[in-house]
Amino acid sequence: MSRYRRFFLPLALLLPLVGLGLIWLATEQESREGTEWDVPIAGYDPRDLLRGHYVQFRYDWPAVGQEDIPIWSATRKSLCIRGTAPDIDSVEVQDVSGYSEQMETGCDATVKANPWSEEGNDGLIRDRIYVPQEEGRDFDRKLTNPKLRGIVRIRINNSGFITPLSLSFQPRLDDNSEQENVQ
Amino acid sequence: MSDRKINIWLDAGLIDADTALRIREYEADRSRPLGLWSLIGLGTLAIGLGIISLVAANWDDIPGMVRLSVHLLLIVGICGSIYLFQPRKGFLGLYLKDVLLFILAVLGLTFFGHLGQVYQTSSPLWQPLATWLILFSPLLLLTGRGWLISLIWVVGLLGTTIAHLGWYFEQTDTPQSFYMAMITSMPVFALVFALFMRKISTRQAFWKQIEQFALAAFVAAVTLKLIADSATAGGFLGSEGYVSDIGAIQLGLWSGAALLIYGFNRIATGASIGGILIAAAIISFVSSVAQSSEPLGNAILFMAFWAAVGWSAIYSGWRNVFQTVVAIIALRLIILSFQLAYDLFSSGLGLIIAGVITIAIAVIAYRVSRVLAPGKSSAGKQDDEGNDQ
Repeated sequence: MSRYRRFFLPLALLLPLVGLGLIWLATEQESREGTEWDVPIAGYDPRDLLRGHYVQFRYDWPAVGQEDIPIWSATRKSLCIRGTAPDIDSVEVQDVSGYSEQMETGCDATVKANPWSEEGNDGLIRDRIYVPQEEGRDFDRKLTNPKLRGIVRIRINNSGFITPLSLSFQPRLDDNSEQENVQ
Repeated sequence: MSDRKINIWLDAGLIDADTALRIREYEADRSRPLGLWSLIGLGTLAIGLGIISLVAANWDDIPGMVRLSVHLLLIVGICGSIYLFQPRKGFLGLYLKDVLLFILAVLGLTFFGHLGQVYQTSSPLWQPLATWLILFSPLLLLTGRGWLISLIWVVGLLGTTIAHLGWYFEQTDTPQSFYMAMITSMPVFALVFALFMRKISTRQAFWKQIEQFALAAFVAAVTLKLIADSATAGGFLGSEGYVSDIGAIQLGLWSGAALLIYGFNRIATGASIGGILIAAAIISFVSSVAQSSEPLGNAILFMAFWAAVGWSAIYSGWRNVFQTVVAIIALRLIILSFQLAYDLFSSGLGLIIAGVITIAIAVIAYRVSRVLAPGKSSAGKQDDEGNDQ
């Protein structure tokens, strides 16, 4: 009993403490890795902007049609982002199976849906960001303002998963009239 | 203990005046100020609930780092108290320490979820569960004494197993037979491990509980598998060759485990557990290969397995287990009689036959469970050479 008390018990007690501490450190480390990008958001449901303390939104990836990102097989698709962080130049939908090849084809970041997150397989299309209660009203007003465009700053970690970091707003350029002029 | 009962027994001549006096003195010595304790308990509960609601209401206003630090500090504090209580006997050393171990285990598990919430990360469920199992198993298994700890460990192990199995199915379209056989044998491994540890540990009651929980989980899983086999014609998991491959590997694994268990325990219990394992292996294999949708064949397989459990119960003198077995076999017979009489239902005759059979089975089962059941306390070893098949 004494040998057990002197040797094994302290070890068994230290193991969870050290283990949990190390996992915390690793998570902290990981949360600083990866690259940050600015993504415009769109298509949010005006009736349901704030749900609890979260703003729900859809990603409006530049140069990608909404229908190009498949909803049901999203886990098998990835987005290849090119540009210099945080500005996205172009986005391309690719198959996850050719992941290693993409690294050579010069993607600056590759995004995958995290099937274990709240959004599940829809992670490439929609997401949510936490908003403190006292700022809720302000965000609500800006989100419904047609002259403003929401920009979400996301971090893409080394596994390719997205974490939304912050939400900001820019005056919206009148896309439609611009396009008409070009045509 | 109320005086009223003692007076009744005294009047009925069950105990004499001396005994009554000694009982009263003994009970007076043991009495605790229950009213005081319950008020203290109530107060503590109110304080605890108040703290929880305060924290919950302001959850988002407390910075994540502060919350995580407090969470980890709580874990450190409980680890310290367990270290201090370990040498003590009595209330503090035995019961309070187990409760603290349980709280520690739960706090440890929730820490993973808390990390995920603060850092906005998410991972497949089996990963935090497996990490928890690795970090906390040594402590739980080294110091646990009561069923609270043995249960949470077995639940943790099986929860990890099931979560991993679910994740594996998501990852692959062609599951490996060897993996499937190994992961479904987890309760068997836990059983063998606990039997081995019981031999070398001083806390035999604790390891026995782990054995019992593991065995119960195993029997439940095999039962579910047999039911699933009969419910879905063509087998539980689809393609035929693959399912019988799993069955064949399980047959080897479980028979090996049975031999190992009997080797450790050359007593009635060892033989009983070994018998259940071998019966389960053979019957599950037959069920996998047969893949029949015939009600009679499936019912025979189901009842054969439970008969093996019943034989083991008689052999080792597990009275309650035996009575449960009789009840389950009786229920299965009743279901079978309804299944077979299904075609006759339109005539009404089928219903009558099924009803008569149901009553007959109920009466017979009641008799069997009273007459054949092992004595209440004796570990009577009835030599029943009828094999577990």
